[in-house]
Amino acid sequence: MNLRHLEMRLERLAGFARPSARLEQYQTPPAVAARLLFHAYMQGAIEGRAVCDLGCGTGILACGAALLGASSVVGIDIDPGAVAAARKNADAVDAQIGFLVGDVRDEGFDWSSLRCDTVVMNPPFGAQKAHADRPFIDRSLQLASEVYGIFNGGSSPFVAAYTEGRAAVEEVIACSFPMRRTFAHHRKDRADIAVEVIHYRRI
Amino acid sequence: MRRDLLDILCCPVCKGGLVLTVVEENDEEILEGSLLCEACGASYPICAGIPNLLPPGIE
Repeated sequence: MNLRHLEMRLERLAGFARPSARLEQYQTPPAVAARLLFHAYMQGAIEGRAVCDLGCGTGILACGAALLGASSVVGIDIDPGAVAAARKNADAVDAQIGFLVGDVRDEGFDWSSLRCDTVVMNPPFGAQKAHADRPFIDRSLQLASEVYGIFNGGSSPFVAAYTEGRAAVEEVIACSFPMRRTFAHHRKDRADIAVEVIHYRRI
Repeated sequence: MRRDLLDILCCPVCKGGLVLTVVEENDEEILEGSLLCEACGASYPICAGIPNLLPPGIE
């Protein structure tokens, strides 16, 4: 499967029926998801690897990882409605994915049971709630040594500083995508959003 | 929820072992049922094939 083929498969998946602004839910753009996944795949971080999608939403990264031959995929999200949609998406592409409703901030949860090779994630950027992405970064490093995440454009200095001593930022890939008006507070019908795919490795 | 997922799950409240109760299942997975913590008694529903491990009382 090549990059374009992957993107076409991911484009057919369903997004959020009723997105929540508080949880910063928006459909991960298929082009950005495919870019992240294919890049990780080319580096040997997906095929034959155990992959976890933290804050999986409607499961686009989890489904893509399964399509690229991950040995096991687990998707976890706090929103039961999103996880139900993710499960339908996984069924639609015939992917075997274990989905859970859970909270990445939950310290009581036995996270060691979910240890894996690679974490892929599109965490909240913290646009609605400051530092909402930090628990995702902390948890990702607990679960896996290789992490590929989608962050706000210009986030890499923050991610590098926040993970100092714990991880090294290996790569930053800048992308942008058009976001359609999703929430009442969005003023434009469509806006180009700059994002970065950041790959960091536990040290 | 496939049965093998149960191997890696434990109670998010107290890390106790979870006991599965199946209400409905098919050849591949459990569709409806619950996970009960043996240690603290907390119960977690499995709805439409998805286990919900949010601590009870948190929405």
